[in-house]
Amino acid sequence: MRFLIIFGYALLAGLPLGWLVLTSLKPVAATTSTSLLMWPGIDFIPTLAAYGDLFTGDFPRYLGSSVVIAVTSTIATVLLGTACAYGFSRFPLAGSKDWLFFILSTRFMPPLAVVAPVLVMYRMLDLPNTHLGLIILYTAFNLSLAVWLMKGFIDDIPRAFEEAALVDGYTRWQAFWRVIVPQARTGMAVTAVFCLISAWNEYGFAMTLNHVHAVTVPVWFAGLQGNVQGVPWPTIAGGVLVFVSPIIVFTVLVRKHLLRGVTFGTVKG
Amino acid sequence: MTFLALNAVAKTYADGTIAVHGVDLAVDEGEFVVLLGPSGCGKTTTLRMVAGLERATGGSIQLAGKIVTDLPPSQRDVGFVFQFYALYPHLTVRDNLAFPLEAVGVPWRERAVRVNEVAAAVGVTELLSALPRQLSGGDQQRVSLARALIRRPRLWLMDEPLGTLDAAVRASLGAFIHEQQRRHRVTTLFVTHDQEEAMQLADRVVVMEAGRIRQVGTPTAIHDAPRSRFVAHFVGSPGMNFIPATRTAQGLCLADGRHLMIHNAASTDVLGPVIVGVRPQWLQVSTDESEKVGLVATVVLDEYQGDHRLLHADAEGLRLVARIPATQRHALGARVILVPHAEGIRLFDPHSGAAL
Repeated sequence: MRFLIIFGYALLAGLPLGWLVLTSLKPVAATTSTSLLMWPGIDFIPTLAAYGDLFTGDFPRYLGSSVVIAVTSTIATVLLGTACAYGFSRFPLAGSKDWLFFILSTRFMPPLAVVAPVLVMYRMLDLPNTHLGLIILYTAFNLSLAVWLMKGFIDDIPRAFEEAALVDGYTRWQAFWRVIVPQARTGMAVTAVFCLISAWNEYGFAMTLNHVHAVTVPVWFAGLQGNVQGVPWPTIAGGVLVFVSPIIVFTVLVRKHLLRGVTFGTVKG
Repeated sequence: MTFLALNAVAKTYADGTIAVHGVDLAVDEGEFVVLLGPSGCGKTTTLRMVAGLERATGGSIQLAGKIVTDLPPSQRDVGFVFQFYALYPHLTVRDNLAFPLEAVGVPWRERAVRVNEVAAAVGVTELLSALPRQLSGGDQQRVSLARALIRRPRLWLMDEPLGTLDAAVRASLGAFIHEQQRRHRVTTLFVTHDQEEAMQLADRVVVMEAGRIRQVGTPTAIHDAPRSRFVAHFVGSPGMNFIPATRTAQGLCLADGRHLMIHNAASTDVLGPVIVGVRPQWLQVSTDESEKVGLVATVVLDEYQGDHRLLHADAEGLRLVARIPATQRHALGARVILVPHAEGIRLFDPHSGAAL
């Protein structure tokens, strides 16, 4: 029974991906056919032309922008979020509950609602069409998530560890880096996955702010659909596959931490 | 020579709770002092203020002639042993031990030598490559002791280090701490709620209650000459029995007209109601109805302890415990007479609870 459910779900989840793989291998004409062309070599002749087009064109540049923006903003978010969460977790801040609520409230509004003011502000600061602009934006948006996630994780790390480091001769800051951060790795990995996915896939702001320079992959995909020579479906499919693979690889790499997320939090270690 | 001095050290939390009311204490160099008291009495808070983990809200702390009240823990040169070991879970035992040395910039070659040295001293040499979670509780606490030792601090602070260990490990580790402390003559402040532990280890015991020091003295003084009912009851297992009586010119008179003890009051004694305190080992249990002095009671419980028995008896609502030889048997419900030994009698003020 359990097997059936898992199998059914895997099929459902895998089907679109499978179809993308097929599409990326088809000649352009085959993608707009009204009949179901399923079998490479029988229904159509598989070709890697789409991937050739992809990597000889501008795609690598867009991918580069996406990588720079997503990775930098993720690192910034996780570091800031962890430091901030540590502060909330360990020090008696005046009105800390209100501050936490305020931080969370930055997520209440749909991000697109603030596109216009952000655009105006960014224009004044010359930030549109730069990597930095989107990095700042994504960091700001994801920070609330990072602070809340990390606070939970850091609350679970007993104070005795950093107190031990303090009496062992370390400063508070050193204790944070040498004792807290290594133990918060699980939480940081989880937070990083969420931030990376969100920054990697973001479309609304990227489309509004960066359409000349530092264009990210999702924006480029969208642009292709208005192509005068017809939509290049195999190229889009190939691009999508290339685009999702880093996320899958990263998630697999930190899988150990994601699964361990539930097993820590005892002083006895 | 006083090595550690607490002058009116107090702690009031932000919410107004007073954990420690102005504590004064002087500890000599090389002395083993145990802070003893029930949970919530402020003993751990006091210890943490000495370590610098908690900021004193009043008074001053002097360590080796220097005021350290506002110094961070890292500048106080103390070794701290935590109740739950607090070994860094991501580091091996070796790295845990080297961690304090790294903080003070000991070169790694010397670090390795000292780690091996201290590991051998506490008997964890074979465990150096293990992670803390692979160790038993006792071994973790050994490593934790070694970590507190390795920097050769001038002061050891221990927060119930034996509290979570099982009996056998507790006994051996307790003896080990004692031995290490005697060997290195490190001034030690040790917190516990276990009075037996305090008696075994301490040069001097500091009994605390409700954020105040109730009595400071050698284990013998604390046990034999408690200055208040609280100390008398808290120290000893089980604690002292208390019997309300009246001091007359002829002796101690009970409510039913019997005498608990017959003697002539000294001319300086104030006559009137008193609380008589008798430790269980000073209560003799007699079945001889012709006994003139003593408290008439009914046996309610007989606890066999191996080398002795604890006989619980009820004297009209007053519960008393006597420590008797294991061979002496009394049936439940039997009428007995509890006769205190003159040497074991302590008198307390019925109102203030202070020793008379």
